[in-house]
Amino acid sequence: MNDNKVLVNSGSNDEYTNNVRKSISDTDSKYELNPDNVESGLAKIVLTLVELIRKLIDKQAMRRVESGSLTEDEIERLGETLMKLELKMDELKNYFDLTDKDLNINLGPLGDLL
Amino acid sequence: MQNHLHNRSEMSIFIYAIILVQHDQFDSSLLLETTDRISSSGVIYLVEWNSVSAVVSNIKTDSLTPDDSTVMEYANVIEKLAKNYDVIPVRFGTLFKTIGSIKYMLKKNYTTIRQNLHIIKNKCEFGLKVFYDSKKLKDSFMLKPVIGQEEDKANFPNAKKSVYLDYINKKMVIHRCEELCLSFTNSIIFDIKECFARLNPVSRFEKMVTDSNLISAVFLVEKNKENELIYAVKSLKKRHSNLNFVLTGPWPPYNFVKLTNQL
Repeated sequence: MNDNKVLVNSGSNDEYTNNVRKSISDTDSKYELNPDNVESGLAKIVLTLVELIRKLIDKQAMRRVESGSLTEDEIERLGETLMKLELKMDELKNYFDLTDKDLNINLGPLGDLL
Repeated sequence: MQNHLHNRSEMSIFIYAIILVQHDQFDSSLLLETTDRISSSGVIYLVEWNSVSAVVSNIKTDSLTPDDSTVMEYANVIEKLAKNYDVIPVRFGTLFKTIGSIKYMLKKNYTTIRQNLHIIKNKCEFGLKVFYDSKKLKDSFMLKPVIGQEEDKANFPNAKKSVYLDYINKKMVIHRCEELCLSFTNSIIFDIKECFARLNPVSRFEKMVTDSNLISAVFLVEKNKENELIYAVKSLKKRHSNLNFVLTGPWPPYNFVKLTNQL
């Protein structure tokens, strides 16, 4: 481990260090439950799952719009539903004092949730 | 494996790695002065079963702290072993109570261990990260009319002006932008695979890991092909001057060992 392990770096060392630090802090989302934070800890876990499902619904909806299989009215209703879902999610995040970063999880090959 | 960082004031056996070496062929001097924090006696020894051995040391269970220096010490041991042997690294903090339980584990997993050792034979791991400011990338895609509002107007020429349709249009712009980013990332992965093809590596790719890390890949490559790999990465940089490529290694094959304990 004492050897220099960086064989090629086409950018600057500072840039690389910053990027690595950022990637560590970006994935630093912990889910800790203890007797003092049961409500917020549970809310964080549940809202992360809800957010994951909401994002999947969003993606699927965009694919359906893109495929051209929906009428204009259907797209409008879809827009209303997705918008209300997003607003409700924001409300819940505010209520439990959570930010997008708190709900972010790394989905491995799929990248970050948010 | 058996127990992870259990908190009891008792002696345990810390397992670093599994190697295809018997006691009489093992050069223990490789590991001198490497285990002040993990091993209570400073001695690393082998527990053998058939042709494989676990590299271990004794430790007071409650003295094992998973801080940076302890993890570095563990990594140092594996690093030194990997320079001389084919190594299956075992996850940090894996403890066994007795030598007998380690032998039993080696016996139960013997076929899998040998299969893993076959896969990593004379090979080591290299990491490749590709950095790019994805915001810059998304902004450049946003400028393209194909994903902007114009096309949506073309799709819905009679669309009533509605807050919900506007919302969908905005989401569609973001969605198309993400799709373009993904397709751009896939094209880079294709280039990487093409450039590395003659090294015949086993590879794994993660796409869009963070805003700046477009690709994070690991490769299992023959130990003597390091220079060819460096050359391949430099030629990739020539093709994609706007991207930053960082190649690291050689590492022990942390990402290419599939071993789950079957006790």
